[in-house]
Amino acid sequence: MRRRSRWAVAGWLMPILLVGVAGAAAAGTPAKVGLTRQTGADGLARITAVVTDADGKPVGGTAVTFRVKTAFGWLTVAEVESRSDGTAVIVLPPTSLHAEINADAGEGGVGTLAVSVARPEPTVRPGRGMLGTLSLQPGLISPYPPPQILFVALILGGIWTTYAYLVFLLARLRRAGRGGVGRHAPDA
Amino acid sequence: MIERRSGDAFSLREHALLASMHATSRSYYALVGGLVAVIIWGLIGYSMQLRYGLGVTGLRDNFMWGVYITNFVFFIGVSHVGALMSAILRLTGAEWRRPITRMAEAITFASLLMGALMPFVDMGRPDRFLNLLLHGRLQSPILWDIMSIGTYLAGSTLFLYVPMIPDIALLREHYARGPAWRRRLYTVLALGWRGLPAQKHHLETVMAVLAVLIIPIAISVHTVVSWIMGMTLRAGWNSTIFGPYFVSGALFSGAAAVVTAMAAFRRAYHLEDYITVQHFKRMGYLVITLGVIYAYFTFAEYWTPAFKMAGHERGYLSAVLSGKFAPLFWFTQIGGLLVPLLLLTLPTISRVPRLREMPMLQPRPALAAVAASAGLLVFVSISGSPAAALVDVAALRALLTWAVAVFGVWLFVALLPLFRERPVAAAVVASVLVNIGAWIKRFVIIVPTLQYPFLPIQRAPAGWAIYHPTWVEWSITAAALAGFALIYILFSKVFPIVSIWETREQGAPHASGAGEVAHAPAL
Repeated sequence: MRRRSRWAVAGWLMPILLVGVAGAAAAGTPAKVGLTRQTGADGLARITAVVTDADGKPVGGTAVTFRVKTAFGWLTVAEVESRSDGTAVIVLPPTSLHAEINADAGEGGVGTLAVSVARPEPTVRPGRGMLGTLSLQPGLISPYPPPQILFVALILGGIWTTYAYLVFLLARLRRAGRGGVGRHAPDA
Repeated sequence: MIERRSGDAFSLREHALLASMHATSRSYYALVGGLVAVIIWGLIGYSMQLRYGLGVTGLRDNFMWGVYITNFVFFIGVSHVGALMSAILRLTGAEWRRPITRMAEAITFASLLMGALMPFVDMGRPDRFLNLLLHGRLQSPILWDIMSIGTYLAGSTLFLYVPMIPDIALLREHYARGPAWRRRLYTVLALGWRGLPAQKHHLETVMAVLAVLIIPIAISVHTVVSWIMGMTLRAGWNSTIFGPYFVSGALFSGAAAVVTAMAAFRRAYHLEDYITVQHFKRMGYLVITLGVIYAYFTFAEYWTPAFKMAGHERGYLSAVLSGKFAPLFWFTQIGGLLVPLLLLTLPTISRVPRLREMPMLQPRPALAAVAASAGLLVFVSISGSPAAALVDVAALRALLTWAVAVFGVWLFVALLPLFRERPVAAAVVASVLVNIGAWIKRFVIIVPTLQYPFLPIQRAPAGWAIYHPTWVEWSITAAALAGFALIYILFSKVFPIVSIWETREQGAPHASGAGEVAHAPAL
C-alpha cells in the first residue's frame, strides 16, 4: 500500500519536474540580441549586445558573434562571451568604415539585430567644394608631436633651401653672361 | 680652354650628333606615330576608368594595388640610374661615363614623370588628391612618397639641365639661323652662357653640389617607395631590408635600361664614335656588380622567412616559391637575373669559341627544340586542348616545362660563341631581360602579398579574391611605357643625347682635364 502511494506521488511529481526543467532550460536559451552603441569620452564606439531569453531575462555565458558588413558580405570581427547580465561589448575605432554590424548568440540565427555605426558624412566634399575650404589649418596644426614635424621640415627644408641656392647661383650665372656684376673665379 | 676650329665650332663627329637632332626618317615618324597611338589608346582606357570607376580594372577591396603600382615602383626604380651614372661616377672620376651620362639623366627625368603619374592613375577618385595634401597624415609613407618623389623630380630636372647649359649655348649659336622655336628655346635655356670665368665658377659649384645632394635623395626616394609596403604588417612586406633591397634592384634595372638606350641611340643615330664597345663592356661590369648585390639581397629576403615558414607567411611563400606565382618568380630569378649575369660573363671565357666546333652545340637545332617544346607547352596549356582527353595534362605540362628549360640551356650554350663575337648584342639581350624581369618582380612583390592577407579573404564574390589585370590596366601600362619612350625620343631631338662639351677632347694627349667645367666652351 505504502509502495503504491509512493509511485502515485512520483507519478504526480514527474510531470511537474519535467515542466520545471523545461522551463528552466527555456529561460537560459538566447532568444533575442539587442544592440546599442555608445560613444565614450575617448571617442571610441562601444557596441553592446544584450542577450535575453524568451522572457526577456539576461542570458550569461553564451557566445556572441559580432559581424560587420563589408563589400564581400558579413565579416566576423569578434566572438565575446556574454556576462551574467547578458551583455557582451566590443569597441570600434571612431573612424571605422563599417556601415552595419550585427551580433547573434546561439544557433539558428536566433536574435539577430543590426545597428548602424556609419561614419558621419564628411563636412567637406571632394572637388570644387573642398577648394572653397582651402586653409593652412589642417596642414600646419597637427596632432603629431613637434619633433616629427621638425625632423621632416629640417630634411626637406634643407634640401629645398639648397635647391633655391642653386637656382640663385644660376641666376648669377645668367647675370654674369649679360655683363652684370658677378664674383669672378680665377680663370682655369 | 678648348681650341675652336676656325669657322666651325664642331668636329665631324659632333656634326653627326647634331644631325641626329633634326634628321628624321620614315621609320622615325612611324615610331613616333605608333607611340602616340598607344598613348591615345591608353587615354581611352583611362577615360573609361574615370567614367565607370576602378570596377573596370582588376582592382578590388583586397587588391588595391596591382599593375599601376607595379609600374610606379618600376619607373621610380629605373629613374635611379641618373644618380648612379651622373653623380656617383662623376664624383669617383670615372671618365668613361661622359658619353652616356646624359642618356642616364634623361632616363631619370622621363621615368620619374611616368612613375609619378601612376599613383594618380591608381586612384579611383583622383580629384581627392588634394585631400592628401590638406589632410595628409605625417606618419603615412604615402605622404613621405609624395614629398620625396617631388623633391627628387625637382633635383633630377636640375641635374639634367645644369650640365646641358654649355651645350645649349652651342646649340644657340648653331641654330642662329634655324627655326624660331629652337632659337628662342636655346636662348632662354642657355642663360646667357658665354663661358666666362664667373659663369664657369657658378656652373662648377652648382654641379658639384647637385652631384653630392642627388645621391642621398635618390636612395631615400626608393627606400621610401619600399616603405609604402615595408611599413605595413603583411606577409612578404614585413621586412627590415626592403629599403636596400629596393635600392639595389633599382640600380640594377636602371643600369640595364641605360644599356638598352645606348644600343638604341648608337644604332639609330650612328653614334659609334661616341659609344664604343668598351662602353658596353664597362656598363656590363656595372650591371654584373649591381646584379650580384641584388641577388644577395633577394636571397636574404626570401631565404630567411622560407627557412622558418611561419604559419602566417606560409600561404604567401608557398604561392611565390612553388605555387601559383612560382613561374613568374622563378622567371625573374633565372631569366631576369641569372641568365643576364651569365650572358655578361661566360662569353668572355677564352674557351668559348671552341664550342662552335662541337656538332651538338649548333644554335639552329637548339632553337628548333626550344620553339617546338614551347609551342607544345602553349598548346597543352590552352584549356579545352584535345590533349586533355588523351593524357594527364598536368604531367605533360610539367614534362614540357622541363623540356623548355633543358633545351633553353642547350640554346644558351650554343649561342655563347655568337655573343662573344657580338658583346653589344649580349649586353642588349641581358639588359632587356633584366628590365622584363624587374617589372615582373615588382608584380610578384605586390600582388601575392595582397592575395594572402593575415585576415583571410572571406566570402568574396567570385573573382574578387584573385587579381587579374584587365585591358584597361594593360592599355594604361602600355601608354606609360610609350610615354616614357616618346619623352626620351623627343628629348633627343631637342637636346644632344650625348654631352658635346664633356666629350670634346676624349682621347687627346692632354685630355687629363678634358670634360671639366674649366674646359666648357667659350662663345
